[in-house]
Amino acid sequence: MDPAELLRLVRQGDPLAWEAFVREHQGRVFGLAYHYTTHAEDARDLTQEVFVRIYQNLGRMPEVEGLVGWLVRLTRNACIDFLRRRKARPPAWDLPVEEVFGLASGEADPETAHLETVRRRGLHQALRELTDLNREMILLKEIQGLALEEIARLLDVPLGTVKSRSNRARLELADKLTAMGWGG
Amino acid sequence: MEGFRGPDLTRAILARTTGGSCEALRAQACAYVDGELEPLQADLVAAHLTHCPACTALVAALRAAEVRLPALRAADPGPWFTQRVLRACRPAPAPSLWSRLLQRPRFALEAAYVGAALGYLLLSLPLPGRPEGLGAEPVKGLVAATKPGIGALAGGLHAMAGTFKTREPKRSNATEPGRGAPRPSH
Repeated sequence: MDPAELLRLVRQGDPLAWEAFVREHQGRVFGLAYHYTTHAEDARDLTQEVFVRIYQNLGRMPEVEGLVGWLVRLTRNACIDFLRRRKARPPAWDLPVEEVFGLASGEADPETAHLETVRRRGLHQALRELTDLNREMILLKEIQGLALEEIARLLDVPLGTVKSRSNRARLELADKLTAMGWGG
Repeated sequence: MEGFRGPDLTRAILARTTGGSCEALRAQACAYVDGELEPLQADLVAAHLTHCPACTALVAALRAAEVRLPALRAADPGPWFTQRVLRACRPAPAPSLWSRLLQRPRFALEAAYVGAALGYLLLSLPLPGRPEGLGAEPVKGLVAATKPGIGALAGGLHAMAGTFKTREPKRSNATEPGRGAPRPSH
């Protein structure tokens, strides 16, 4: 379905269009929330909260071009509010990251599958070891695919700063991956 | 320069001139991977990479991250998640008249008032064999018992009011020595 048409129906309050919209974007919102909170159940609660907010403000939905940036902004704000509240109460348990991102490889050959799973887990590990600032840059630019200008608006920093921060974050991640033997 | 082979010789010369070039490559590595360098600059980076395993590993890791990171964009929140969101977005049904009445903050006060009034009426109703009603006598008794007390209280209050009234003119007359009377002037 044409995304613009879907958005039009969502704005009109069509329940089926709303369901389709939720199904289309829930993975992205949940993935982003999980990267921020590193806790699956918290990420689910936040994702639900984000969609309820969207539903209550359907009139404020942007056009298709700005939709992803808007979703990322809403989710990021919800996550930051949540993390401020959670500061003194870290989560006690969580699902393994493989279950959340389906990191277990689907390769037929067990040896290749194992190697692939180890690599994916390593990538996650490297991401978690980054500084908060660098992780957020990787999250917004490399994972969510936002343009530098959009990130500059979102973080309220100059474009040049975003560019240099992004390069620094990529290099830090590459260093960690190289140390894990990815560079060979 | 005896004993130096190709790479060692280059390193030795660089060490005594510009210093190591790996830092310079590091500054351009992202642009190189993104294909944003001028052709000449890209060729120079490529030439460095053929001789430097550490920088080659760095560029390889940058490329691997670029390929694999977008796969982490979305995650599966679980099979029932959409239903959960849709339920949460459903507008709550409008409360019934009764629940709206019950949720009023003054409801308890009003209920107590109505209950007391009903109780009094029930006690006063004439019953078969007792035309004066079940509660008439107890109520009369209560009034009779409290009447002297109320009378005494009212009497006391009246007397107090009278005292204040009788003391009022004393102040104005100023007969008390040393208070109201004017001192003789010498």
